Amino acid sequence: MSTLTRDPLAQPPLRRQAAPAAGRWEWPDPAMVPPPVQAESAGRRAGPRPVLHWPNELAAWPPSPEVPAATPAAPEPMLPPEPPSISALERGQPFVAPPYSPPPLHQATSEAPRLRDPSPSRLAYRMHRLWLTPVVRHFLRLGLPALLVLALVGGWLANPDNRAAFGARVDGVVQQVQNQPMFQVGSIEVLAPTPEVAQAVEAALGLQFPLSTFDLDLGLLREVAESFDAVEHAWLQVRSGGVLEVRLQERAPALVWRHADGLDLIDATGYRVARLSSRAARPDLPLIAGEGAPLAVAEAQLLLAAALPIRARIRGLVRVGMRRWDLVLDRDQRILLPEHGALGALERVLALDAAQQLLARDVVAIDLRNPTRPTLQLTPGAMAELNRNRPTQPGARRP
Amino acid sequence: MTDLYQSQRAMRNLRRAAMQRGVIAVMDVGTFKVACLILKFGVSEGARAGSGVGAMAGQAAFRVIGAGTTCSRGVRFGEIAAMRETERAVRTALQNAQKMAQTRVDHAILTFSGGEVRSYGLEGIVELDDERVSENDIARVLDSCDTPDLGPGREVLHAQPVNFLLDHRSGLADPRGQSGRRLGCDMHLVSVDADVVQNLVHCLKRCDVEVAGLASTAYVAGRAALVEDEQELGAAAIDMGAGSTSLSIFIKGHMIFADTLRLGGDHITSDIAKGLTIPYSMAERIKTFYGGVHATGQDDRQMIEIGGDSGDWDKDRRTISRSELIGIMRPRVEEILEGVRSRLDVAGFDHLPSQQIVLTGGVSQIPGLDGLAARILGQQVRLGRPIRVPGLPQAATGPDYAAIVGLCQFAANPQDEWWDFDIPAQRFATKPLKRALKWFRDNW
Ligand SMILES: Nc1ncnc2c1ncn2[C@@H]1O[C@H](COP(=O)(O)OP(=O)(O)O)[C@@H](O)[C@H]1O
Ligand SMILES: [Mg+2]
Repeated sequence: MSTLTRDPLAQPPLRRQAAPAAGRWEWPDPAMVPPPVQAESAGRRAGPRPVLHWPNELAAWPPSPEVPAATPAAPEPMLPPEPPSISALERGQPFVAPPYSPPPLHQATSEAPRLRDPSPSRLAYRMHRLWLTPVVRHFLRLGLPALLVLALVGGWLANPDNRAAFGARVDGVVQQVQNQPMFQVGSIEVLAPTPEVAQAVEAALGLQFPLSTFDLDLGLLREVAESFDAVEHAWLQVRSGGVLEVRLQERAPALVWRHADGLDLIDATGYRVARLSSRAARPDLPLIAGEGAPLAVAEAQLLLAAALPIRARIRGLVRVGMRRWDLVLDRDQRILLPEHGALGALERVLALDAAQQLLARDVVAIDLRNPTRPTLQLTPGAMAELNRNRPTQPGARRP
Repeated sequence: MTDLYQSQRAMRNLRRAAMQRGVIAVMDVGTFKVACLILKFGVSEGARAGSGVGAMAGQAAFRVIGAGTTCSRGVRFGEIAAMRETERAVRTALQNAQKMAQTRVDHAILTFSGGEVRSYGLEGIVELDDERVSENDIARVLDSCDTPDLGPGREVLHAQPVNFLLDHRSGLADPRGQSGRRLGCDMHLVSVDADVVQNLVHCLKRCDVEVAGLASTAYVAGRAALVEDEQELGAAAIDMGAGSTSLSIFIKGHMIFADTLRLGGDHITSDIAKGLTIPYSMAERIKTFYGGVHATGQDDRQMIEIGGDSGDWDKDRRTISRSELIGIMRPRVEEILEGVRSRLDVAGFDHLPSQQIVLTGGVSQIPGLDGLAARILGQQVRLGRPIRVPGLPQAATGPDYAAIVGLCQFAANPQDEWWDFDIPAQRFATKPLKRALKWFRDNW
């Protein structure tokens, strides 16, 4: 019942599927799976058949020894043809299986690589299971590399030479970064109302340019700048262009304080501003004197403001016993003010002066220390005159 | 018997523990293929409301996350014939499934078709202590079923209570809490050759996997291939594998009979190979491509190449017609079906109210088999495919995967078995210390 085809020019079969790669095992064998039923596959196979080139072996005979003859391609595995589709059968075309070209003799399975066993070895299986164990997997993925890196780094750093070289290298890099032009500071600019202060601050900061911004401790520099009595606030800023700008706000001198060591300028809060060489340098500022005078600057200023009507005559205010003020006028006149209520007492004196020109008289001191008993001290001449005019006998007598 | 009770309970505890951890493997060691699925439990609470998917018999509780299939090696008639070979096949299937699932599994539920399954119907009866049936009474009545002589070297594989009687009422599914005086039960017991089971367990142990449950292919294929009303009304599921044909009869949702026939697709293949003097692989190939059981005139003209590798030009270019192939296959298929018929007759399948027969397994894919089966087995024959379970690869949805899909269901909601109930207390009455220990272990 077998149909034999003996056509020597029979065409080799078309492969239905790619033969499995040599040595690969696939299960289920793709060739074993029935083909999907195609709804509209009429006839055998549409499309052009590939042109087959039969090698003309005689032309190349004998082969030259240098060029080895091309090895014949591996024989295609024998695959049976596709079964006929239903539609082809219905059309009544008899189904004839396309003939096979025989595989070359003595080239059968002996040369084909043996199929590899698809099953994993016991060891491979165990390893795979181990790999799928979460603990092991995480350890191998994260823990082990981390440990390895740590061990390597630790081992390298254990050598002191390496450590030193590493430190030097790090320092070099740090230096290189810090010396970049954008981090360079080339000059300083101190902005202050008085050039003396500016010069003094610049000298105190004592910076050697050029230097890097990383070497500047602005906080420290600011403290240095603010350590000057004349400086109330200092702002430091590295401007673009590598300029360190120091902006100073100076204390405004409000008074001159004469003390044992000389003259000082103090500001409205009593803080020392600067030394004054002579009183004549700042005649515009009122003078205060006495120990502890700067502590009561606020009261002094109130008193001075109240004494505006006799401004021209005021020499200064003297703090007595760190307790109370004396207002000193020219002609060596003194107004001794009480510890409490000094302003009221002064206003009383001024009112008396306005009404009766008290201060224009021959008075040495007006003592208001006891508010219930104000006392006038007259000059000796005035005193004598007063005594002369005073009647020796009681009773009124008209001269 | 107590030995087996203990080992089955141990397996049940293993199964519980594995399901608690969420992953368990199910394996089908067949004659033609070894299949392994990895199930993940607790991935969803079931179908979304309104999605149109029903309860699906509870199998929505799990999802298949890994599948591996390889050709079986060293297995004959569903039993291990060469342990090392089978171990390799099992290893391959397990590794493929684990690779796909990206988890390792340590527990597997196993199904197999060998071991000459025999089924027994047992009955027991006890007087109730209280007026109501308690859990303890169920255990007692199950325990009172007198075990038949299973024969040397045989063990119980399944022992499922299928029916309960209370006084004169029968057909109770769950008598707990009902009042009565006498409680009876019918139990279906399936016995199997112990050595076959031991070999399989050992084989899996060599692959570092613990067996956490065993099921007969007959039972699980029936669960997968029979729809619920067939299980309820009575039907037979026939799993036609390569080495053996397993059949099970279901009624009222329970299996009441199981048997295997040591005949299968391999015999068809060997008939073809011997009849045509071709290698087995070629015989297998032309069987699956061109096989059939009804020859028509058209088949006379369809020629099949059955080449060879002998180097003999004439031999390597032989062809046969398809009708010749069918002529070789049909007697063997008929023999298988006749065998099934006789087993069903022995079981009294004729007396069931509904006589639906469902064919599954790889061999049931032979074209025209249902027609032939209808002639031999009766009119109500259909080809069955396993139900769908979530995550199953498309390649594993064919009838040859009925057993393993049924095993998934078995894992998700197992049938009550005898060993799921505690041994009644009086058996331990002589060992109070052991009882106290057991109580301690159960409660702490
Ligand atoms: N399309 C098909 N036509 C005919 N037989 C088939 C087909 N597919 C598979 N088979 C046969 O089915 C058998 C495999 O069935 P299966 O249920 O997988 O067996 P097992 O459970 O023993 O591994 C093999 O003998 C195979 O030849
Ligand atoms: Mg099977």
